[in-house]
Formats: sequence, C-alpha cells, structure tokens
Amino acid sequence: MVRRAGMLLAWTAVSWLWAPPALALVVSDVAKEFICSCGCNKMLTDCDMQCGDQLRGVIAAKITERWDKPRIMELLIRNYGEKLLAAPTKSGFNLTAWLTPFAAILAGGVMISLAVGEWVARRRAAQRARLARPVTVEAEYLKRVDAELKHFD
Amino acid sequence: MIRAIGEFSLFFALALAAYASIASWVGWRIQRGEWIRSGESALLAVCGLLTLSTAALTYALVTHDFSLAYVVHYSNRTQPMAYTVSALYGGNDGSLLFWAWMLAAFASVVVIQNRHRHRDLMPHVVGVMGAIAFFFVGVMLLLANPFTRLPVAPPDGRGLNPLLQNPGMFFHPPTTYIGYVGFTVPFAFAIAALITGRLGTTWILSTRRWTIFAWFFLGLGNMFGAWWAYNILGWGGYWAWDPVENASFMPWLTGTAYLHSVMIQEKKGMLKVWNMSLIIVTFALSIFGTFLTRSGILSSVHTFSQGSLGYFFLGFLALILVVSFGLLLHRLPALQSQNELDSFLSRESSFLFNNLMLVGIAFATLWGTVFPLIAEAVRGVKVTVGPPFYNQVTIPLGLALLLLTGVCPLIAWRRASWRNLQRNFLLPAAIGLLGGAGLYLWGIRDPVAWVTLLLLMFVAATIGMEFARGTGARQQMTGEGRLRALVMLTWRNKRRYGGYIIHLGALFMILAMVGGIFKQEAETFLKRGESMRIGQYQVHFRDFREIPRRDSAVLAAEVHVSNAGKPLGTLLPQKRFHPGSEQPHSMVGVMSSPREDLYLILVNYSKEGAAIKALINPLMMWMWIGSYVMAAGVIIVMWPDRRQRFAARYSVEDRHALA
Repeated sequence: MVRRAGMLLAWTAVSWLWAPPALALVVSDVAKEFICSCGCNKMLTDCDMQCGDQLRGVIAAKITERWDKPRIMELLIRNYGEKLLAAPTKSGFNLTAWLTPFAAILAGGVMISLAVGEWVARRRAAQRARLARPVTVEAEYLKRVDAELKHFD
Repeated sequence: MIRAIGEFSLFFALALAAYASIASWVGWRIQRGEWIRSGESALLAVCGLLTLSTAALTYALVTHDFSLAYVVHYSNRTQPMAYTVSALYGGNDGSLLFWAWMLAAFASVVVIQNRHRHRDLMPHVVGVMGAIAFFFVGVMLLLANPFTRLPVAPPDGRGLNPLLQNPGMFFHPPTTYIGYVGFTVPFAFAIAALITGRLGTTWILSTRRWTIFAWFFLGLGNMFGAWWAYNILGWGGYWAWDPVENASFMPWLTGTAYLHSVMIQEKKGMLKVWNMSLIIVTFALSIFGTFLTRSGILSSVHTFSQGSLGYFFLGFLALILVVSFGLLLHRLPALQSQNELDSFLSRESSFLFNNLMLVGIAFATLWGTVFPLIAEAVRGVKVTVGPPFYNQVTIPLGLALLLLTGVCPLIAWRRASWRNLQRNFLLPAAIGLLGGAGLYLWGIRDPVAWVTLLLLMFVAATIGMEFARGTGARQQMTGEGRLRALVMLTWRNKRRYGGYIIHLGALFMILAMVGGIFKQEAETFLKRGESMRIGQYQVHFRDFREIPRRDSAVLAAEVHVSNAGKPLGTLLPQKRFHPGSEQPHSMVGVMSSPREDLYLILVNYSKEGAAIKALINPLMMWMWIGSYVMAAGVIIVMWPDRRQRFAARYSVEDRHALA
C-alpha cells in the first residue's frame, strides 16, 4: 500500500515537473508530422520550395478555420496519401515498423543474459571442481592469484 | 589517346585481378610459393594500372576532353579547378573507378606490409581482394565505363551539380569511400582465417589498425557530409536520415561494435563467432550502401539511379553473405571457445550489452531503411520512414549506449565488487545527479534533453576521473609535473587514453545534438531597412548585393546582426545561379559561437525585399569540435607503438610457430 502510494506520488511529481505547457496549435505542430510532397525528401517544416509553402499554407488556413491537428492530418493524408506522413502510423501492419527493432533488441538482451548466466555457472562449476581437488601447492597458488585478481581493477 | 590508355588499363586490370585471385588460390592449393608471389605481384600491377586509368580520367577532366561522355556530364569550362578534379568521383562511373583504385591501393599496401608475415593467410587475403577488385572493374567495364566516347564532342559540358561544388563535397565522397573500402582489409583477413582455420587473434591484431582507419574515415565522411548539409542544403539541420546516409551510418555502427568486442577476444579468447560475424556484416553493409546509391530502389538525394547496376551489387552482396556465413558455419566447431565469466557485473558483460545497443541501432536503422519496400510489398501502399521514426526508435537506445559508455571502461574485468563500483561510480553518479538537479532548476525541462545531459555529465566525470587518477599515480611514481604526467600517461597508454579521448569527442557531438532540441526559428519578409528579432539577436536587412563569380551569378542579402544594440557583424545569405541549372541554390549565412549558431537563409527575394528565415541552433559548434577531438583520439590510438609493433609482428600463434 505504502509502495503503491509512493509510486503514485512519484508519478504525480514527474508529471507535474515535466507537464508541457498548453499552447495554441501552430503550423509547425502539424507540419512536423509530414514530409514535402515534391520528392525533395525534406521534412515539411524544413522545405523551402514552392510545394512546401503551398502545403504549409493549407495547414495555416485550416488552423485559422479552427480545425484540430488530427482533422488537418486526416485531410492531408486523404489528399496526398499515406506517403506524406514522415513516419509510419502506429496501427495495423505499420506497427511492425515500430515494434520490430525493440523486439529484436529484447530478444538479443535475453540471449546475452542467458549466455552470460551459463558462462558464469560454467565458471563456478569449474572453480568448485578445482577446489574439490586435494590442495596442492599449485592450487594454493591459484587461489592466491584469484584472490589478488579480485582486488585488481 | 587518353581514352585508350584509360580503357586499356581497365581491361588489363580486370585480367590481372582475376589472375591475382586464381594464382594465389592455386599456389596455396598446390603449395607453390612462386604462384603466391606471382598473385601478389599481379595485385600490385592492378594498382599501377588503376592509377594510370584514374590519372587518365583526371587528365581528361582537367583538359576538358568533351569527347568523353563522363567529362561532358560532370564538368564544364567555367567550373573551378578543384571541382573539376572532384568530378572524378562526382558521378557514378568515376566513383566506381575511384573505389576500385582505392581498393587496389590498399591491397598493395597489405601485400607490401605482409611480404614476410602471415604467409599462410596472404594467399587468401590476395584472393579475396583480387576477387573484389575484379567485380568492381568488371561491373565498370560492363555497365559504367567512364571512358565511353560520344559520337560528336560538344563545345562545353553540363558541369558538376552546383550543390556538389563545395569544400564539404570535395572531401565527403573520398573519405566515405576510403571508409567503405578500408573495411575490405579486415574482411579479407577474416575470410583468410576462416579458410585456413587459423582462428586465433592473429587476423585481429594484424588488421586492428586497418579497422580503426576504415572506421575513422567512414565517420569523417559522415561528418563532412553533415557539414555540407548544414552549410549548403539550407534547412538548418545536418542529418536527415536519408537512406544513403543510413547506409554509411550502419557499417560505422557495426564497426564500432567490432572495435569494442575484439577487446574481449584479445583478452579472454571469447566471442570469436560474434567478431567474425560483425566484420562480415560490416563489409556487407558497405556493399549495401553502394547497392542503394546505384539501384535507385529508394528515393534519396544521393542516388545515381542506374537500375541494372544496382542488381549486380545485390547479387554480389548475396554472394558475399552466402560464402562468408557458409565458411563461418563450416568453422563453427573450431570457433566455439570455452566461454567462462566470473560475474554478470563485469566489464566483459557490459561490453556485450554495449554491442547489443550498437548492433540494435544499426538494425533499427536498416529496418527503417527497408521498411518502405516491405510495406509496399505487403500492403501495396507507399509509406515514408523519416526522422520522426528514427528519432523515436534510436534515442532510447542511444541513451542506454551513452550510459554504457560511462560504465564499460570503469567496471572491473572478471568481477566487479561493491567496493569497485563505489570507488569508480559514486563520484560520477553524484556529479550527474547534482548536475541534473542544477539543470532542472536552470529551466531544462525537456525530458530527453535533461536525461541526455545528466548522462553526459556522468560519462564526462568517469573520463575525467580516469585521467585524474592515472595522472596522479604517474606523478607519485615519477615525480613529473601534472601536465607532463598527463601527456606521458596518454602517450604510454595510447590505446586506452586515446579511446577515452574518442569518447570525449562523441560526448561533444551528443551535446550538439541536445542543442538541436532547443532550436528557435523565425521567418519574415523584410523590406530594405527593416529588421526582425530572434532570441536576443536583431537581424537587419540592408540591401541586396550582387557578387561576381566565374562560375555563377550570386545574389546576396546583406544582413547586419546585432545583440542588444551591439553590432556583431554582417552575414550574406545568398542564392547562386549556375548556368545550366534550373533552380538557384542557397548558401546560408552562419555566425557561430560555442553557445549557438545564428543561421540565416535567403528563402525568397523580390524587388521589394527578401524573405529571410533565421534559426538559432544552440551548441552546434560542438558537433565540429567533437569531430576534431575524435580525430585527435584516433591519431593517438593509431600512432605506432613499439610494444604493439612487436605484438603485431610476433602474434601468439607466430611465436608458437617459431618455437
């Protein structure tokens, strides 16, 4: 209970500390979601060609008409196609674009963790086997080396 | 005459490259030293012939021999001499010749370096490099011959793309190519190790400097490209996640992973399969980049768009992957080392996670690059994968990598004790956290910027602490002054402290990236005598100025910049009009300081005035400073060292052989 309350408090604090200020919609808020339609491959916010001006003009006009961001985005996608979006949508098949890199890294992380776990276990087993052998001068010496290496950074 | 010399040299080079490979492998098979030597000499001759061919094309460009199609396409009489020379690699055919020439030059250096070393590996090294040279020269002669003649020579050429007539573009292609081609050397040695079964550290030690060299030049190429984009393309940024930019970023990432993970193999004999895979993938990604530029399969500002040529590269790429991984599978039992680790909390395992992040970012970049093709094949709909995708996917991974940059060098080998962690990380962690609190109070509220800066302080503190500790210990031992002890410490441990300097350079560059989050922008149409304000700057448009140039007409807006009434200087953002080019191109006006860049673009102009776009790019200068620091670190790491020279000459396996 205390832990849960603590987490809630921490979340509230973080949300308050990093709460974005509420601002009116501007052209760049919408334009940053699109690339230019003329094939220059630039973000719509950065394109200084005529086609960029024209698209930003459409966005500005719709903002003046009090359209919200999703509605303006929908209009542009309907008129120019999904290709105008600067990044794939986060739905349907496009979701694989977003999830695959993280899934691959997660899988890699799990594999590394398993491998390291196995290597550590193997090392420990080898050490146990060595320690189980009757103590000889060599074993004493190895133990000393191990102990010294532990303190060696 | 020149055309004949150039073209015949290419034909002879093709034949000799094939001979070099065949003679080397036959010599190895029948155990005849003279065949192997003959193959090596043939590779040296390939270098001579490609040098002749490159010189012939350069001569044709410089003397305006418009009977050659390549000269007509990429030069004209008004082009400055530097860009007439750089036209050598400004077009598809010439860039392939330049690539093949670099490859032959590196192969020759390898042959000369190894006259008396690695004799069992050399037949295969020569075989692989000869085969790659054969492919490049063959493809060139078949589909992209730079010596193709025109039936009628025009009086003048079309000229190099005006956007490429810039110092950044003079250096960007050759440095990038040197990086790509440089990875051929460790790749050839890796394949030689796989064929011969000499899978120890010999091939790694003998190619370590080559790998760093290739890695450095690829990074440098990317930096020149970034500098060019920032100063020429006029959008205020330096990296657009264009498919071809990605193509040169990916081998750099996997090369970085390789440079880190080989340390584990050198120290503990582990990760042999992983290191072998990394160098194969790095080389394959270099060829992938060439495929992307030559196929026109993806829309990019870099493409040469020669469809069929791209498919040759795709086939070559497939061949490389099949043969290399086939050999790797064949040698798998011999490569599997008896891996043992003392603890999860050790430098070895932290290096593994560092590799995971680097390869993960490379994979995310590759995935984003090819996803439009996958989406079109599956859904039949074209999608774009642009900066918002890469920023959202790679930033969390980059932050994890940044954390590991601080952890990896300081955590103990084998097993980190609580005492070791406390001793090495308590102070840097405290500096990071206190700095983070300070930044918050100072008004840094963007979460990504805040976390990145906190981590930057942590990593910088770990590096600083390492230098301070080492210097202190050296002072105690030798009684040297602080500065001398610092210099000698670095000089005597070039690999370790040079590596820290490279990390420091990377921190500066990341600092510049954080600055990008706080970018400010304003665009206004100004009549003569009018001003606009951005941040603390007053931008005053005075008048237009025409600047005469030999190769273009220049219209510049004369803009006076002041800060709180104090004049800072004049900037001349301009439009350049090149003959034969439909669109003028922009040259930006930049006023730089360590704090920020004021960046002005002449967006449009009319009789009444100029549309000026002004940006404030905070901390941008640190991007370039960071690259200088990185370069300094690389020079230190690569500087010849007596002990390393001995180790490279007499590797463990060689010493066994001698015994």
